[in-house]
Amino acid sequence: MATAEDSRIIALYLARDERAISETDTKYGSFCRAISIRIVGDSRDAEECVSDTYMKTWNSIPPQQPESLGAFLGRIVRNISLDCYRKKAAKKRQGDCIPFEELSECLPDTQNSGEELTNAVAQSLNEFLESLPQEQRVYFMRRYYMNEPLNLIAERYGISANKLGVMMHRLRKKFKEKLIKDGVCTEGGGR
Amino acid sequence: MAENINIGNGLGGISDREQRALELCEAFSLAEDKFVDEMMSDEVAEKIRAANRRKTLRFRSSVAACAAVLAIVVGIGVIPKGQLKTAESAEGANNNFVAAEKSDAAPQSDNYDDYDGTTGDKAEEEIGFSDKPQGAAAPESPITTTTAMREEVAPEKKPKTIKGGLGNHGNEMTAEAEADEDNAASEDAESGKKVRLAPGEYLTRADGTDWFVGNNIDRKNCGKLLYNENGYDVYELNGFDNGYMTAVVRDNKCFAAITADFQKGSLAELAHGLKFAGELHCDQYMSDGEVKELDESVFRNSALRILTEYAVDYDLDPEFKNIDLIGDGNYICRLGNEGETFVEPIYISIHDKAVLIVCYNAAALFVAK
Repeated sequence: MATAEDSRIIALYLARDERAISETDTKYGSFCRAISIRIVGDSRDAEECVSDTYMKTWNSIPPQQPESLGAFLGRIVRNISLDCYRKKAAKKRQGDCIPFEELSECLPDTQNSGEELTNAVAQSLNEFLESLPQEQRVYFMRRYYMNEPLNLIAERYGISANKLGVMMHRLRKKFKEKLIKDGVCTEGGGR
Repeated sequence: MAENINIGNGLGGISDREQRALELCEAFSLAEDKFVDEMMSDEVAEKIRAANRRKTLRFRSSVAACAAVLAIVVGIGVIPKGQLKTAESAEGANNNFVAAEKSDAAPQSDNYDDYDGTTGDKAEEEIGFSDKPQGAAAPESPITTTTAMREEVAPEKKPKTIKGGLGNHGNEMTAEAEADEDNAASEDAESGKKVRLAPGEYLTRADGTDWFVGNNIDRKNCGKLLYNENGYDVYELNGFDNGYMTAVVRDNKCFAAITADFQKGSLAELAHGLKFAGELHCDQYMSDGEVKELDESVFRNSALRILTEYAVDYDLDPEFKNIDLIGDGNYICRLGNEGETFVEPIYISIHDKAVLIVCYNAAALFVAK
């Protein structure tokens, strides 16, 4: 359910009032930039991705009226940033924070690829997240949705980075077992 | 775990493995909105922080009791029979804590508050030994309430066994001894507010320069070596005029910097400085009667029990496998399946009458009855 503030911002979009963009930036700008820069690894690229996100949001609302503006923006900025990342894949880069090593533990081997794989994983992911206690789910999302470093997650939630690291390790293992059980991947080389 | 990796080989494209990881990363974009909202929610964050603080508070009262117990136990070990004194005046002790107490380290300042929030676990600033008198915060310790007194034995640090006349309930405490015992407990519990830092975090000295808790430490110039325990050196750091800062160092790697007053040097306090003690999971007591020997199997079973309970609490798989004896007489436990890289060492620290087993954020104190 949309918060009052989100409803107000969405109303600006619907009214084609350009203040919608500035209001969005005020509330969600740092969230979007954090997601983007951790994917693309470059602040200029991240700013560009965030701008593209606002443009896409402006073009999407209406007809869409998202229940959760934050989740809506998060999805768009992630996808735009990942596309940007792919386009720059030929170049060596430093500074991006996608935890490739960790994610590759969860999906060692699969016959699927592309959109088919993404959708299959997404279904298993949502079931997996639903099964977790709230605390673990939040940590898992912050780590792999936002690509947030462990020490920042630990600081936000008052947990030690050590404990968090262990918890992430175990959750990845469980998620991998879920993906294998759902037939999304097979027990491959793994880690 | 590698958090950042360079991708690409300069020839274009990414590896298959990276591609799969990228696709998995993309799948997270399809996480349901409610999970994203929950992740972003400050209310949920506060709820989780509060829950983590409650776990910490449970530790705090347990640790305060155990610290008192330990202070008494250690103190007893260095006191000549029939003449109970505080540990500070002990002679002939080979206990490093006593050496620390004799150091001229300055007492900590009461104003050593947490700084600008860039460091440490906020919740763990509450951890530590209560600055209230011991009785105010902690549950009764079975040692402090008993009127019986065990025979003291010459302090002797044995890696595997605890031997000797740990007689149980025969001797009476003198009134003076009881008072001294209470004082020792209170002093130990009256440590000032503690701030703990982990590697990567930093403090600002009085002159405005930053001191990092990091992998390398300049042993020659960082400060004064206070004492060594279990292979860890404890230093009083130079340059902190507004307080008393200690660093816990091993192999030139600094594990933690804390403002703890190590004069009493309790094991649990040192474990806290080693960032392992975020939560006292349980405190156990050895079997009834005189403890002649605590053999290796007891250590293993005890450590495994603690770790298993810890794992259950945090919904982890208790795949604890090996407990290995390392060179300095301590043990480490290796987590995970056979062949899996162990994540964290667990230290079992053995003193004359007490054993502290510390791992991650769980610790257990064993005291002989």
